[in-house]
Amino acid sequence: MIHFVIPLAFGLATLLPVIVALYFLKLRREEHIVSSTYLWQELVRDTAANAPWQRLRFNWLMLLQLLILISMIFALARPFTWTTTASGGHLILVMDTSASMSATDVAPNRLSAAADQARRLVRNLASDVPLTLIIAGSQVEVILSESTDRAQLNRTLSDLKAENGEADMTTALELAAAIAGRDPEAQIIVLSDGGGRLPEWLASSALVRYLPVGTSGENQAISALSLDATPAGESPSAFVRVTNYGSQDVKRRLTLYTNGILVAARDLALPAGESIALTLADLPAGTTVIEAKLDGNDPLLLDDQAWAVLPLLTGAQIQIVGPGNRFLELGLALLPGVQVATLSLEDYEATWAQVEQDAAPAMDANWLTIFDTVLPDDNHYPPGALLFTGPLRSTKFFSVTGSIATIALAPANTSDPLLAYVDLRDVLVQRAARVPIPDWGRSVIVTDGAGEDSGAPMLIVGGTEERRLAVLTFDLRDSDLPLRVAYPLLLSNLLAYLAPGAAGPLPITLSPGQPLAIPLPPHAEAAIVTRPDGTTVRLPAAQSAGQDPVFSATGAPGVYEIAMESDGEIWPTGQVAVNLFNSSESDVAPRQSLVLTSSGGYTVTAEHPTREEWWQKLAWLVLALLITEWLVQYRNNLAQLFAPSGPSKRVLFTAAPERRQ
Amino acid sequence: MSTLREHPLLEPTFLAKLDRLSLVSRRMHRGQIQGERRSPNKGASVEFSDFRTYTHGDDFRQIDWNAYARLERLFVKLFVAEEDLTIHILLDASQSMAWGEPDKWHFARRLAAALGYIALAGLDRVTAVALTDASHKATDRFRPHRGKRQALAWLDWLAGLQPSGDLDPDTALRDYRATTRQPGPLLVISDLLGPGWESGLQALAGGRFDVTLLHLLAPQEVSPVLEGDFHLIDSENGAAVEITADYDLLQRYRQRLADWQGHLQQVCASIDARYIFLQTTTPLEDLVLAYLRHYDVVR
Repeated sequence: MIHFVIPLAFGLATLLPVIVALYFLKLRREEHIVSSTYLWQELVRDTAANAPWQRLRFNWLMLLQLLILISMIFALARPFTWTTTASGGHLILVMDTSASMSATDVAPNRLSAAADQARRLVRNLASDVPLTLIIAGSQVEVILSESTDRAQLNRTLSDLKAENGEADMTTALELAAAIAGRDPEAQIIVLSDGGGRLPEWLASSALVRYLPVGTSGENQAISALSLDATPAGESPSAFVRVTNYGSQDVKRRLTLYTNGILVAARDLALPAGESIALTLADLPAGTTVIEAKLDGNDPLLLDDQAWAVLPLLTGAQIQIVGPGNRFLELGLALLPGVQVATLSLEDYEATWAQVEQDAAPAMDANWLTIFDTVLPDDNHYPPGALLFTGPLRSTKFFSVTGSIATIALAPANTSDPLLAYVDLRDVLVQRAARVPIPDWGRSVIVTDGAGEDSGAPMLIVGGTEERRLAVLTFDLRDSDLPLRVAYPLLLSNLLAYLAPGAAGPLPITLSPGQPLAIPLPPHAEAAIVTRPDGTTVRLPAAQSAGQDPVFSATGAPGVYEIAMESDGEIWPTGQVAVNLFNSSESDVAPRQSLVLTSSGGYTVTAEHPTREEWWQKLAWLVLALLITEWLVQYRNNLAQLFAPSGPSKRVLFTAAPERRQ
Repeated sequence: MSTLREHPLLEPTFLAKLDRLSLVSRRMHRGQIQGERRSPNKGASVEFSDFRTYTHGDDFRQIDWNAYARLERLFVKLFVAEEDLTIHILLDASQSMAWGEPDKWHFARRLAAALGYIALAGLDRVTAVALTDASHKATDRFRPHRGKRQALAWLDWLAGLQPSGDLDPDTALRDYRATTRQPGPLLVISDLLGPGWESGLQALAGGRFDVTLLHLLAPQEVSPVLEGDFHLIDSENGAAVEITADYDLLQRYRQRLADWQGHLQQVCASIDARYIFLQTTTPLEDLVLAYLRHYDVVR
């Protein structure tokens, strides 16, 4: 639509009839004597005698003069259109590819609309203006750098896909500003719906323009979902929150599935801008995954589905069998994700008796049982790892051949990962059992000093085909080890070895694209991630200690299964749910301004397209018409100027009759 | 009183070149006295023409005695007559001729002078008329003169002419035909601007005259240099025409001129006359010595 800056200029249109009137008026003509008017008379019929007006005839000059005046009037009225065309010597396009750009309020989606807008911008740009394309997704990427290859840009724009996470607009804009800093004529254009974190201060003197994409903000989302299990083993419960980010009240149906089975459906009346939270108790026992869905359509489908996992495998279940050991309980309590239960040997045996009566309980690999100075019946060892402290007699796993008194400790191998950061100096043990190294084990800590007891194993670790085992040959109460810094470190290392699945806590939920650091115990070889679509990724353990493998391909929402590979075995270690749960992405209403403050001293709240004026083009048109009018006016002279022959030749060849014989 | 050598119309060097030329007559015409042109009459030249049976009263000096010896009958030998030829020059002296750059009138008089001089030098009889309005002054006619000695009189007569008035060519040409008995080549030098020329020329046709139409225009008439709005005034009758000289009008003018010339050529062809178009920019020497020779007007 064309608008005019100075519509009053159209008043000059009153001059148009004046020009026409001048052609109506009979002109005062110059008198010119010719030899004869004989040849002219037939040519000129318009000889109305003495009338001040003459019949208006078609005249190219009149037409051109009218066109010139019309063009001038339009030029003076300064017509303009609102446009989003770009200009400048270097165009830096920042394309938002965050989750909200996949909203379908503009067909086919916002990202495609933004790509089309970018194409339109570039189409109006001179072909030699370089382009830089920055993709602002969860990672910022410069796809094109100062390229003039428009075809490549088109291909790149066609290949763009919206991510499922939040855009890192801060980095993208700072990068754009840094690139623009090299070129004073650069212009930054942000094609976005305004979601994502913005830098509070943008150090750029370049013109920053924001072209919003999207029309509607009527979106509802599952903004929270969690699954909890009570320690007492009761039925798990779920918490879900649904938020209406739109400006109108809506009704949506929420359905919940546990392990793929529909367990609940609720019709929710969602007031505009508000949330509804629900708690669903008494979910089926054994529920480890819950999935929530919002039925129906809204612009963004990504946040209409969410998952939550039970943090079942995130900690080690440890039972201490013995008379009660304050040092052990305290030391284990310091470790994260560890659940400790203490019971006496009698209770243990009683439980075992009940177990023999019923079906064997499902005890998984994370179970660690510590026999603290007590030993059960040789047939009553539970599955899972075993730790013996201060054994008083031989068992089927090891033999006790005597005792050792007043000893200092020393590492058997200083590079043993079980002794990482463990300082055994000045640790004394009053009394310990003498345990020869069994076939399955190796000594980690030995006695220090000279004498026949030198080098006797104090801590033996190892594994059989069924389980991992460790034997601490002394009672912790007979040592000052629990008072040393080395104690929690040794306990942690030992626990990591015996219960590798409990090596560290995994997050329960992640945002799409958020990298997942998978903590692995020192002996683990790799982490294995199974994506929601069933594909698996093997991540080798880091070479240096303290660095966990990182899984970054968490773009797709859903449940990711995490496992650990150790000694050729796969140990499931947990599940992670990836959900959008991002209010800035779910709130898809396009922002009408990007509040950026640039160093140029102006605040960019740019949204509006710029005003493109057309008067320059009209001025060129006026000039072209003036030249045309001049050419038409003097075409006769010009024709003579470029006449191919002189008059004498014309005599000989233009009117010469054939010679008569 | 100027002499032939210093005459303003023709230069002596040009006159010397003209001495070698003669006017071409496409037909034989009867002359008045013996001359150098072949006549349809039988005469006393040395060129044999025919035999005729002797009749009483014939000059028996002309009897062919050899034929009598063979045939025993009397035959008289006839010979081709050589007589003089009357060249008619009709010069348009209307006011429109006094226009153009170079001047049509000056050019026309010089052309007439050259052609008349060629005729006089070839022992032909020259008569001429200045075609003006209907006043028919005695000075408008150059009575028949013969011989090179009359060249000065011829040039002086031309030099004394003044263009004036509005010509009615139809009447003027009909009058000339009615008042002239001597046949012969007739040269019309005119710009032909005006109505009546076609009918006048057709009146001249009829066997007595061998008409050559020399159509003379100034370059400004061939391609007018006009730009703008003009009140055109006819130099002959003062008639006015208002024009807006733009490209289109001038294009149409040129087209009209070409059509008109084509029409005149058709008229000339219909009366067995020659049409030759001339412009005043052509040098007279080139015109006479080359151009008119090319068209067999002179030889």
